[in-house]
Amino acid sequence: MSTAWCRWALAFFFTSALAAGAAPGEASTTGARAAEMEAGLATKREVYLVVGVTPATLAIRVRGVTLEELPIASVAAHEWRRLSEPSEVEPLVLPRVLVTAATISLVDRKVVAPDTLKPWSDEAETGRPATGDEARPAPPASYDVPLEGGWILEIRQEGPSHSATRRFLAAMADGWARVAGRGHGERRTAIRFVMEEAAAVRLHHLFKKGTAILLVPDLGFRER
Amino acid sequence: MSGIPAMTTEPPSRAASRGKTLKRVGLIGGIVLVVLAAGAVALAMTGEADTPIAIVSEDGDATADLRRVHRRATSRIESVAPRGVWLAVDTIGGKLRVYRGRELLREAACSAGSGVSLRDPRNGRVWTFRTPTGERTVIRKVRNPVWTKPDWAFIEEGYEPPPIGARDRRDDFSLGDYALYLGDGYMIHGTVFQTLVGRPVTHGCIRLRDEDLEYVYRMVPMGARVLLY
Repeated sequence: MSTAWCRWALAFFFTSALAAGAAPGEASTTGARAAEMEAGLATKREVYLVVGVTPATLAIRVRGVTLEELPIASVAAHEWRRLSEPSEVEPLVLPRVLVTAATISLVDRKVVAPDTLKPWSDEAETGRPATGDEARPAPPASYDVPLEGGWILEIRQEGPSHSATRRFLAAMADGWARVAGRGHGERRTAIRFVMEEAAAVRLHHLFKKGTAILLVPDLGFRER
Repeated sequence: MSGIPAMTTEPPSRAASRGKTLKRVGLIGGIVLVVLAAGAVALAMTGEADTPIAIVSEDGDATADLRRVHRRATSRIESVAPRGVWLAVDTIGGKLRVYRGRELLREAACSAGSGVSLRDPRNGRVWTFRTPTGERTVIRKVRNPVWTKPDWAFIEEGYEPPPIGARDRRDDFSLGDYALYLGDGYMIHGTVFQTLVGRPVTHGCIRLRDEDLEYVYRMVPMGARVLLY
């Protein structure tokens, strides 16, 4: 059996184990490792995210306390590679801590700049200041977050499409681009969180350089 | 003249020729299709596409050692949780939460920094009205606070700032009834613009509605942790 087949068989076996999960109260390898990883994050002052894969759940935490849970539809991992070649990426083994490699760009802000200033006097009329009710523009709902290790976290409203037809057509288009010398498709190894727009917008500002994301099979790991 | 029926069928030579042409066209079409299909497959084999990566869990029964690791880790997580009353402020979502340990006591709408910048036309100095994130503590609590207006408060209204220490810099109504000082000029305070609470519109401070501000003032002790995120 080829290495690729072995890898997929292994992946299938472990995915089945993931789906089955451990019964509450039962100690598990994953539970112990996830708890150990979270203990490392909770001792710091920074906010971190804990993301369960099955069921898909996202918790914003600090010092081990859940501040908020945001709805998330699914978590998927995917890579851009040739159809004819085996994957060079190992299956994503949980639990795992992902770290944001860079702060994603802040939303543009307005600059208020009066041309001239009137001299102040006791009779000066003050009202609502020029910057007083100017809310910042909403961040995007669909964006990429670079992660340490070269991975990319994609925040999207739809999961990646892996149907045979779509993949074949995408590979053809990429192949044609190579033949025509127009560069290659977007190369990436990514984790995708699929969530509603409102949740994606809410999450945007938390992705600063160094923000940790603990990816676990499910959020019940502290109990087992 | 007796009529001879007109010929309705092609001579055998023409029919055979048409048959040959059709065959030729079919053959060429078939070859073209095969070439196209082969080209498509070749292109697809050369190109790249999105492929799923398995997400797996290294699960299994924990050994005694791992059970110990799990117990130790969970008790570490428990031990680092803030004790007593503390605050968490979601600066973008516009929510202030009051906790006692892990228990959520109250959630209130709040306003944080707008992110807007103001430029002083005299010297080009720029202030950006952003709420700092991270952990701070309540260093002072004041009833009926008086705000000493900084230069930007005048400039944004289109006036030159009065001299430092001038009586005109004193403002005893804008901050509301209470203020909790967080250091570096940042506060949790009230506002005259009650309807804007919940939107990120401030100069960096946290604004609350009157009833929530009173609750926070009474519940949150000096030295309490304030997490701004």
